[in-house]
Amino acid sequence: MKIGLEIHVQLPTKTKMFCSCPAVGAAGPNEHICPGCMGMPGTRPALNRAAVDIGIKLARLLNCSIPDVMWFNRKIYFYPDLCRHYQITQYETPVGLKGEYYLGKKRIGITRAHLEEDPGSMERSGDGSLVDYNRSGMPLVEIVTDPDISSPAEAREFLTFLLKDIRHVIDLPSDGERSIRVDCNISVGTERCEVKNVTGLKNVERALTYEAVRQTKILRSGGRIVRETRHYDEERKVTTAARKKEYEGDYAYIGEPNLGSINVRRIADRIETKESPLSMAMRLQKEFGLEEKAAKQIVNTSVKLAELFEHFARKTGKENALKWISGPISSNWRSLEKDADTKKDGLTDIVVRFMNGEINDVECSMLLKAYITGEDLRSMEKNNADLDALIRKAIAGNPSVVDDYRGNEKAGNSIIGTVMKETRGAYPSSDIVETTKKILDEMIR
Amino acid sequence: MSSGREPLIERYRMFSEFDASTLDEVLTYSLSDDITARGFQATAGSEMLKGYRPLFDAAVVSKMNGNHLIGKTNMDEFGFGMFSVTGTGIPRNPFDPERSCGGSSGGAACAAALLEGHVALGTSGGGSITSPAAFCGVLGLTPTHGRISRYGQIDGVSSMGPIGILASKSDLLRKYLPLISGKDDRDPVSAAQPELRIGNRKLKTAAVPKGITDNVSDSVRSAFEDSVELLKSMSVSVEIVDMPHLKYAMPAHYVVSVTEAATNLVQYCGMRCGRQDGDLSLPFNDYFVSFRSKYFGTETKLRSIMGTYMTMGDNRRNMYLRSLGARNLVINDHKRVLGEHDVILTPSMPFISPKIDDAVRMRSADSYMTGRFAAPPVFCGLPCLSVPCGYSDGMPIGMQFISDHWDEDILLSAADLWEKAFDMKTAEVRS
Amino acid sequence: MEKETVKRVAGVARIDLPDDDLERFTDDVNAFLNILNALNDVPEDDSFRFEPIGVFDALRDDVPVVFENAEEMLKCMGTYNGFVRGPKIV
Repeated sequence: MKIGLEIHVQLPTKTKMFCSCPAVGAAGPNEHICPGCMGMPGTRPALNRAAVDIGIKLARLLNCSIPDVMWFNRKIYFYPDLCRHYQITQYETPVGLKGEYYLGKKRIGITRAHLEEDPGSMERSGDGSLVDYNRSGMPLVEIVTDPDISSPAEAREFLTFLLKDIRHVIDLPSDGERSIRVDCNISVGTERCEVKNVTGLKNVERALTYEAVRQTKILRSGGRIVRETRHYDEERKVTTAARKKEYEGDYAYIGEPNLGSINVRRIADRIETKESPLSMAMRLQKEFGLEEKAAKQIVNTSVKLAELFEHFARKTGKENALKWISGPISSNWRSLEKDADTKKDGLTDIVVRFMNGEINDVECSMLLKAYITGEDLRSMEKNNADLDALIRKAIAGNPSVVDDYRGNEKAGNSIIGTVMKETRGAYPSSDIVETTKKILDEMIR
Repeated sequence: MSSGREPLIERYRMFSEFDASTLDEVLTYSLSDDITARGFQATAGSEMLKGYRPLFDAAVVSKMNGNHLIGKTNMDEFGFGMFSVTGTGIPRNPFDPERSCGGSSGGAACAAALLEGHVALGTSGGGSITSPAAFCGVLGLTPTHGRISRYGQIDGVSSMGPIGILASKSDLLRKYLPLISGKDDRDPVSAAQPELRIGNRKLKTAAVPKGITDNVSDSVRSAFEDSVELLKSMSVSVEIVDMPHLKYAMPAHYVVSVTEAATNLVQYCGMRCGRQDGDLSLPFNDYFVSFRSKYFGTETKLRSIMGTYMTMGDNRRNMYLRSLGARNLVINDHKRVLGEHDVILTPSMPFISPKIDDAVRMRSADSYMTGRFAAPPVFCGLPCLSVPCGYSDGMPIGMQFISDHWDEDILLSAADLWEKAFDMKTAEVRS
Repeated sequence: MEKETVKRVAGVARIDLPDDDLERFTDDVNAFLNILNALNDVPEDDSFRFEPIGVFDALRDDVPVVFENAEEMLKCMGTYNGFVRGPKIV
């Protein structure tokens, strides 16, 4: 089975691609429109610098080569939602060409990534159609993959990781205003079908699965797959053949003479791109010899936590970094997250004291927590002693737990539950969980 | 108000509602109908755009602030023509009302010829300023592509087609070119320009392409040859030069212009602006076809068809891309000559203005080829100037100066020089 | 070019040519194709560009400006509940 995807990402710019209309925040239909994005005769496109910058960042994320010079093209199609009846897009010189993306060890080739504008959106109405041009002229990057994906599940996994990376690298907010739409190409035999305009990861997997089954059935019964465009019906969860357009493929791309050319290589050299979470995880594995699982876990919690890990690893070595990052720092991450940059040196100083034997690991743990939360160390010590006693009391009231715990860690949950109920939020749940585990672990040793 | 101005005020009445008698000094301007101004309909000469009233001023209109816009002038539909006979109204030649004004900016040339002190802004996608300037006996300045912001200009073609100035006196060109040129964020192409420097450089050398007067009318040939002699007598040295790739200019210009035109025209489908009197319950394709078949004129349909064909299948490479390559060759030919000479000289049009009836009947391809001197510089984005250089049967004949990209300075000098040396006639209004 | 081809290309351009006009259009098309034959000996060259003067890096800053006359613009079109009315989509 061969699957290739065309992923349309709406870019987080403040304005549209070729006019200065606000990109988001319209309260009703046709509020963010101007003569430019309405294609009024006499207007001209003017390219948004931010869209080019973001295009470059995505091309880099996908390890694409960026051309020295790029330009734009006109692609004609007649449809009521496209104001000029040609879409300004890129044909000969996409901002990114021939890249690759690694899903673990699996390589997925990237054919190209190009900049283009979105058309408006429309719906059927009784006797005609109703069009909203708020979306007209929104900047997009279309990412086209090689047909390297081998199952619907893999397509979903790929998209999950890719989107996480994209959100991080271009600061794409997940507020729902900017959508991601996918065209899915799939062939079970030799001929492929394209399922257009699928929104949402679940739907991509479902649409592809439906298509795979449909094509397999046809081939098994001796039938032939007809190359066609299909739509995914979200409610009925099936794909249906789209009406064939009479003149499809008869129009070619021509140059867009109104925009000139962009020295995109030179612009790219001036732009710094953030490392994607996935490539950061890979780098942590390589640089610090972390297990894949541990590296991904840290990065998935937060890229900032991973950056803190790097800081620890350089100052305290990999073993200590792993021990303290995955221990007290992870469990107090929520309080630390926004101060991570200013507190990172203070944190490693504490661990260095532990390494020098000035404090033991219980003290180190407590000092770290106190430093992160800003709590008073003495009251924390007292609190901890109190919590310790409460847990031991709960275990004493239900001694069989210790034996059960030997076989199954989950047995500790009943103690955790009891203590949580009794203390009614006086202690953070992470403290109760941690301390209970610590005590039970001591008991079964 | 002096009585000497009465005939002029009368002429203004012929053109617009504007009452020129209210002005101490009659300094007015007009726009060809493909340039937008708030409050004015902008149809680009097309039935399709009837009723389109843009809500924005063209960049040139903002820059002309303080001058009086008296109206819009007739032109060929979307600029597709050499005689102003394909649009919504046919302007009549000020020297002979039975004859054509030339085109596509024919109405602009007519206004410039009849209204003293008037500045007519027109556009040229392939000689559309040089042609009417020559036929109406006025000066026509086509600046470098990008010199004047095209924001507010309705595109027939896109990679060429600057806004230019038609006027009866060279000091008007000198005054208004700097006023309306300059960079504009709303037209990225205008950002390419170096500053317009007017240094009154003296015209010293000119080049005439070999064989340029082959196949022109006798009157045009002799007027052109006399004019070259006149220039020589003013110590301009003139040399015959070889431009081997010039023969590609017309076919390549045609391919590029119709291809661009076809894409500029696809938007006209009975939605959003202009004509919208269709039946929305039709499937969208039928709805679009109904408007395009009903409201486009014959020439516009032909260019849509040709332009569409030029990018279909192998034609994209063999016609469209090859013509873009040919454009580079033609530009290089010009640049090479202009590296050694101030200007290139050609006739403006191969004959004097034809009768309107004959122009209407002329085959599209023959009409197109009459632009063989006027179109190549525009195709190359080069600035050019048409000046009256003779008369035959009372009709004006034009000569064209072409200079290097951004060198409008030398054309203004040429206009001044020529105005002093040549006796330009004013059109008599005959009824 | 044959009449049928002219009709088909016109169809791609979304123009319906009645049979009465077809002859004339076909003549015109062929007259031009004749002129375009001169391009056959243009040397092949891939260094094309789309405008004649060399326009580079003309970029606009990403600063929003709300167009104040959206409502007035919509008045020139058929609308329904703020949507622009269009033909039937099939």
